[in-house]
Amino acid sequence: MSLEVEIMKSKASYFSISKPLIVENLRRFWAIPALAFLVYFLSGVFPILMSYSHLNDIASYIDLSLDNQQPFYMFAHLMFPVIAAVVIFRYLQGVSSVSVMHSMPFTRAKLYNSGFLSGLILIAAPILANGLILLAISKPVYRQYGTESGLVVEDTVNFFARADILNWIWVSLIIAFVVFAVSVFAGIVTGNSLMHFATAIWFNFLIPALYAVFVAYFSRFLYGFDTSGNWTEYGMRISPFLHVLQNDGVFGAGITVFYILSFLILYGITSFLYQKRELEHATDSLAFGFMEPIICYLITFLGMTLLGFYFEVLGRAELYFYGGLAAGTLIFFIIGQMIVKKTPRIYNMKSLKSVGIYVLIAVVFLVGLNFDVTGFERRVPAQNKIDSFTITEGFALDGKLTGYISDYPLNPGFGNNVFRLKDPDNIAAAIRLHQSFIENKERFENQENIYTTSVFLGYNPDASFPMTRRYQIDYDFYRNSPDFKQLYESREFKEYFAPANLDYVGLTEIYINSDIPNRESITLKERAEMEEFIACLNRDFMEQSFEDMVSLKHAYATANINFTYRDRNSDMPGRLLHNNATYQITPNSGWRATATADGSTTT
Amino acid sequence: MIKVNSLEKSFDGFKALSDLNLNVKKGSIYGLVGTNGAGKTTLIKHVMGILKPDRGEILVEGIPVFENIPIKERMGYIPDDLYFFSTYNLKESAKFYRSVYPNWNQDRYHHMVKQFELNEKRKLSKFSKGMQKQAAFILTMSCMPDYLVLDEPIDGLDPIIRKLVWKYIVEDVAEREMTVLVSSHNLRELEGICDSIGILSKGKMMIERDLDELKSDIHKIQVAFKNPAADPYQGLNVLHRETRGTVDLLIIRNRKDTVEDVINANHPVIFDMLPLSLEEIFIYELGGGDHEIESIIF
Repeated sequence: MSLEVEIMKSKASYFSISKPLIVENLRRFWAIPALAFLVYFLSGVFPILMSYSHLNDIASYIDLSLDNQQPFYMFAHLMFPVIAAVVIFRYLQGVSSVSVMHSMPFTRAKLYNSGFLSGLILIAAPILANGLILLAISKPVYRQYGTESGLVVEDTVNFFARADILNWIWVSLIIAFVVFAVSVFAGIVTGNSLMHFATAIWFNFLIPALYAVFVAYFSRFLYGFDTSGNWTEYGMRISPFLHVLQNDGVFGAGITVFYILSFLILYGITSFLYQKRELEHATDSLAFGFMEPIICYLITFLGMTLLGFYFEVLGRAELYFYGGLAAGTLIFFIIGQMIVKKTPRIYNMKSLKSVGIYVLIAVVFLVGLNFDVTGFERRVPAQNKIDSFTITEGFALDGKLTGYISDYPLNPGFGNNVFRLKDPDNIAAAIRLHQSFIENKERFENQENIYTTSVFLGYNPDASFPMTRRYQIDYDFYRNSPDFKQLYESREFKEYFAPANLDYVGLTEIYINSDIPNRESITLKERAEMEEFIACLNRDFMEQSFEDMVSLKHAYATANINFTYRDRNSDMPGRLLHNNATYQITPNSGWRATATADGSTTT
Repeated sequence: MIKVNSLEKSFDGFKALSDLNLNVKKGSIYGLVGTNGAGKTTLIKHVMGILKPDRGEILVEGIPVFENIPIKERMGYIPDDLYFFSTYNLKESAKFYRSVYPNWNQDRYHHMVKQFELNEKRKLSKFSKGMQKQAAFILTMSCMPDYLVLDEPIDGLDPIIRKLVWKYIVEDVAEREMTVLVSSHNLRELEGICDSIGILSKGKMMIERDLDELKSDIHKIQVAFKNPAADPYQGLNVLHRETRGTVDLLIIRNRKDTVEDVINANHPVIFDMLPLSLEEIFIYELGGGDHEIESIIF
């Protein structure tokens, strides 16, 4: 036989399936898709059918369901793939069943592929069936809301469109398939069904959980580490199950490819492990010896972290934190050993050696964080590597200059409430500012009961992995910083925040009120007057000094500009919203501004 | 034929099988006996291609059995610890077996179900242990295997069913040249049916011989001499010796004529030579009949 034929045969064997086995699996486990169908149907399709003549009433529920944020859907996406994996591969976890199944005329690849494919069919069928029903009954559904003049239907966005249903099917299949692949992996590495079920659930959240734990350590130990924004998002993104909760039920092309690749890689790794599995380990906790320290150490690490941070909250002292870590290590190492060894008899030299290795790793990890061995805290980017940056802080920028609402309608550049500064002088100032934060570490880490705020610096914010830092600084430092002054007085900065950038559709009125007793309030209603007032404010702002901009002095007057605008980032971009920007006018003719949305609407 | 060469297998550092060889001739019945934990089930699981050996090879008709579908389609296996799909009855199980084994014989299946008087529609999990064994036997024999591997097949069966089971096996061996490897602790039953015997101890094959040959080479002797020589049994392979007064009771492994020549040369006053049962051979081969070994014999 030629080599080519041998290779083809081997490939065919690797991907071979057994039709009788798949048919048998479907016959034996039909209850799983039947139950899943009922959960999807009764929580999704049924309410729609019940309200079919007045679907606009439940537009939000349909939106929630098709965005996969409805609790019953999420329950089904998680539990049915896990249960399918556990019951299909249960034969691996019993001494008699594993022997009988492997004595039959199947290769291991055939058993694995057939089981895997059976599972995919079992979990896909109810999703597809419900999807088809939803497609069949879909019709335009619009959100409606009440106004003073009655019920208004927002007919720009159809919440029950076929595209949304197809997206629901696709996203649901991705979530269920990835959860299933993780659960099958759990089944191949474990030795009994209880462990299979527990690890299947655990593994599905393990990587995001570990990610969160590492972020917790980094934020505790690394000065300048930013836990918000990208870090949280990346952590959630690892699991499609978690990611769908944060992004309105739509997976972008990049993340879809990532999930498909994850699925295929998991399928391949699990197939490889199935080939290597020693069947005699059926009924043990784990089927592979090399997994024992890994699982035990993971349990210990998570337990150690839990108790460490718990103790720290109790005692608010360094000693408590390390005491908690030590207690967590001891307790959870014992638990971990008992689980992986499936016996309480773990008090021996081997365990002692194992805990010794763990403690060594933990000490290296904690010492590494304490002494910042990676140089994270001292790292400052080179100016030629930075194209743009963004900065936020709570003294003036958050709320006073940018407004309190997420979709503050400034134009241009405020679509995502993130502004970028690109001027080389400003980039140089940002780097100097960053350097000054590092140099003042001692000052910022030991400040108590003084006026402080959190400053966020994000370099190249549009890059895939932007460099971000966050520091807690005090007001004195802020007000006296020449670099803040350089940034805030720069033309680029001012042009972003200028009142002329207010992206209003209509101006309702401007109400000017003074805190000085016995001064009458003034209300402007004429459009020309209002526009002239805004132009005056704009000129003042463009000339305002940094010191005046961030001063704590009390405003002698406030100007409320009431306007209407469209929220282009919302589900209903056509809807006109009321908003108002409040400018506080200081004695030096400068002002600070706030904006609030009252949520009411107008036609 | 089934051939196992230099098989080795360890479980977590424990050597379960060590340099083990086994030869089962085509169309023969091979009895595998051994103490508890000797490695019989482990060996059988290797022969069935369930376990992967650490070293050595398992060949059926000269071809490795592990991951070999064409060979496994012609092999039937009844484990000691049975397994059926939960919720399935015999009829549903038969349907599955029929779809998996190409030589499935539906007529034989119907005939056997009738003969064993089993309810096809009753859930197999509701069957008694003996009935489950019968069901497994029906399913396996209906696959018309060329190689039948049985691990404690008659454990839990009543004497009538046992006879029926052996009848089917012997008939298939005679008519279709089916090759049988059977492990059992019931040595009396094996003695009446096996062509060859392999005695396994602590993961090693102690003896592997044709049963007749084995029995003709091992003897139980009662002998008494008027004037015994210093060593009247010199040159004989004495496995066990017990003296009761002037009478010696001996278990000797040697050719019959050699034993007779050596004993007669000393002019015994009593000399009885008795055949050994398989059970006795097993006991004496594995340590001279101490109580521990004796206690495991059926």
